Amino acid sequence: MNEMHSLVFIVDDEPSVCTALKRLTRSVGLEAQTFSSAKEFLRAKRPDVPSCLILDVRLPDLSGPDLQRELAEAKINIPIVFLTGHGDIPMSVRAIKAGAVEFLTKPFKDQDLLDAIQHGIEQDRLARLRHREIFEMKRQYESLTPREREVFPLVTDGLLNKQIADQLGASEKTIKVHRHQVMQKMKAESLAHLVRIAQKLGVSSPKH
Amino acid sequence: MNFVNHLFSPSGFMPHGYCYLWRPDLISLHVVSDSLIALAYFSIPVTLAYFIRKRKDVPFNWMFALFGVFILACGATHLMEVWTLWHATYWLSGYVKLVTALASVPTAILLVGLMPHALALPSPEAMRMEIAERKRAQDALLTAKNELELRVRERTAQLVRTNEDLVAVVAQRERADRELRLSEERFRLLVERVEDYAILMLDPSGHVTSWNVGAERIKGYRADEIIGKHYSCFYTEEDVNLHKPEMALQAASVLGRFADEGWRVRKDGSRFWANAVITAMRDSEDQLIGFSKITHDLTERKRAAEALETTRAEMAHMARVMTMGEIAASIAHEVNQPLTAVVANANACSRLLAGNSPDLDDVREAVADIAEAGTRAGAIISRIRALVKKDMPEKTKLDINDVVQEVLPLTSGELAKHRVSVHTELFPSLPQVLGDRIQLQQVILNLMMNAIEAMTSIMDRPRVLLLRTQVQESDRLSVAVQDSGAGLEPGNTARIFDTFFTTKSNGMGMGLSISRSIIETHGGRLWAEPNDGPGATFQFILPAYPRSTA
Repeated sequence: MNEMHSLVFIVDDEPSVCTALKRLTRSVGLEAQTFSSAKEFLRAKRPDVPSCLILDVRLPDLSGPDLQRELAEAKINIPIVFLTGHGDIPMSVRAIKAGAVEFLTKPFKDQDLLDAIQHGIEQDRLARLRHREIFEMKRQYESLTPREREVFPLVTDGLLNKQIADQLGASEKTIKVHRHQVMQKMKAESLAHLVRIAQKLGVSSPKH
Repeated sequence: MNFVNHLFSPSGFMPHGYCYLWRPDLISLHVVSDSLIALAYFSIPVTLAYFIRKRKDVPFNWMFALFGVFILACGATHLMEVWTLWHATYWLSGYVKLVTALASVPTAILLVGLMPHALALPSPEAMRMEIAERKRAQDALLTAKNELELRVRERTAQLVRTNEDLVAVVAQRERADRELRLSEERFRLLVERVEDYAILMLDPSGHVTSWNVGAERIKGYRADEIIGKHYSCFYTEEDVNLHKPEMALQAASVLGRFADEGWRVRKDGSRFWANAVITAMRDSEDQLIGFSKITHDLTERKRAAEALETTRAEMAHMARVMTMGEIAASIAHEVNQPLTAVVANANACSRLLAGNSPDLDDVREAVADIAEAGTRAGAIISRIRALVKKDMPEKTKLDINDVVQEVLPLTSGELAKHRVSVHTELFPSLPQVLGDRIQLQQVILNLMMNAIEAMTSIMDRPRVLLLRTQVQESDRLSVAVQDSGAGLEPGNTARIFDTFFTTKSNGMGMGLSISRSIIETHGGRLWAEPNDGPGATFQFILPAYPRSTA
């Protein structure tokens, strides 16, 4: 967060609340952008930086939970801190289950909001890192030959070269070359590392 | 004596017989003739006297009397002729002749004078003819008489009939008169004994001239106490100072009738709410002869009406509180928004000020925002408090656009919750209305809540609520709440204003009926009609408060 630029989005139809929230986030050195409706937020061009969305539940046209759903459908994984005028437990449960960072009742303690924002931004930053890592792994995976992709899950299943060779009807020596290629292409430092990569990519053998 | 002696003394004359030489035959002739003549002459007056006595109708009967005297005198002269044959009383004989002469000469003269008259007397033939003529005339007369009698009988019969009719008419009229008198008497008794109404008469200047039991009961005066007094003593001092009694009579004499309602005073000084009708009474020449005045004591009705008004106000209040309860959450949200801004701004200030070099302009802005938001929250709360407070309605002059603007913040929560967008078309410079601000807010709030409710099921089109104020026919104005909701069910349009009628699962069915009763007590009208497109429009009209007296 320190080294990386970050941004807070505030969506509330009440201008005075927007202004106050923006002022509050700025007081702790966070940049903020305000929107008076969900649609305005969706239309806006958002910088690709770790960010957090402060979202009022009750909005004209599109409500907070509706926006949450639309963002999820569009695979826009921005951490959301919900604000509501009155504590509606079922709604807060649904929101949290759908991945909300926090559900705060207005008027809230400033520290609670700032903590939630910080938490959200951190979560987004990590998600972005994770996203980038998986993206890299996928790119590496795609560089594997079809034979290497067959060998990969059998290796991470803990099979010996001889067993793999028997299963694939190849020589043990050939399998050894494939294993080496997989380890190298996937930048795995050890078999354990390769197993973790396989898990992250969801790679498994056909029989499983 | 000397004269009598002189008459009857022979005085030396010789009897007349001597002249006849006493010849018996001559003497006898004279005696017999003269005697017979005298006898005849004496008998004639007797016969004449008899005739006159019997026939008093014979004309000129005095002439018969004169003849009688004259003939009697003639008879006497002939008797004296006989007497003087033997006795020489020639003086007496001469005097008798003188008497005869005196009787005969005027008779002769009178007879001459009488002759034309005697000649004029009808002859017996003429008499007979006249009699015959008379008889004919008499017969004709008789016939005429008979005819007349017949006619008289007929006429009499007719008269009898007419008379009978007249008697019947008179009897009927008498009966009618009696009935009229009876009816007048009954009417008088009726008026006198009416207890629920004070019925009295006033002279043209307003002094009491009659008084009934009702008047005594209602106003407390006995007839003998009040008759002759001026009727202004029934009015309150304030009304008397405003010359209301005189004005009422003036109005009644000009308009014929004047009705009025207001407080009046009883004899004991207590007040009652009266409905009074004063009617001018005029004679056949249109001269004002006085006034009749009928007063009804409506104090109980007035109290009942006031109690009803109180009940209605309480019901309206209850409905208002219920509506506020229904939207309490969204109103709380509305209050929460500025409070959130206040808290967030205050926190931001603390943090800004805790820094090394705080941006004071930023802090100043935050503080101004805090004040603004706080004021706004306060305004909403006072509006809520006014709506929930239990006050008797109080009518003041107000701008209906202001009322609409005051309700909007209370509903913005509900509008947002149900994702209804609101549009307003407020007519600029609307005339003012006289009304209770809170009750009119309640009506608009109810209509908006209904419109929002009607749109909750709408998914395929925008949920739009349009609030429009307009001037109608210069002296009225309208407020319309139009929605794009489900519209009115044809069968329900007439019933939606009934108390406890509701199509909502959670409604009490009081909102619209109370709204209508509020608008009606403001002299207006509230109704619903379907839109040309989807949805319905609820609209009310209120009379504008006259500008001239505003």
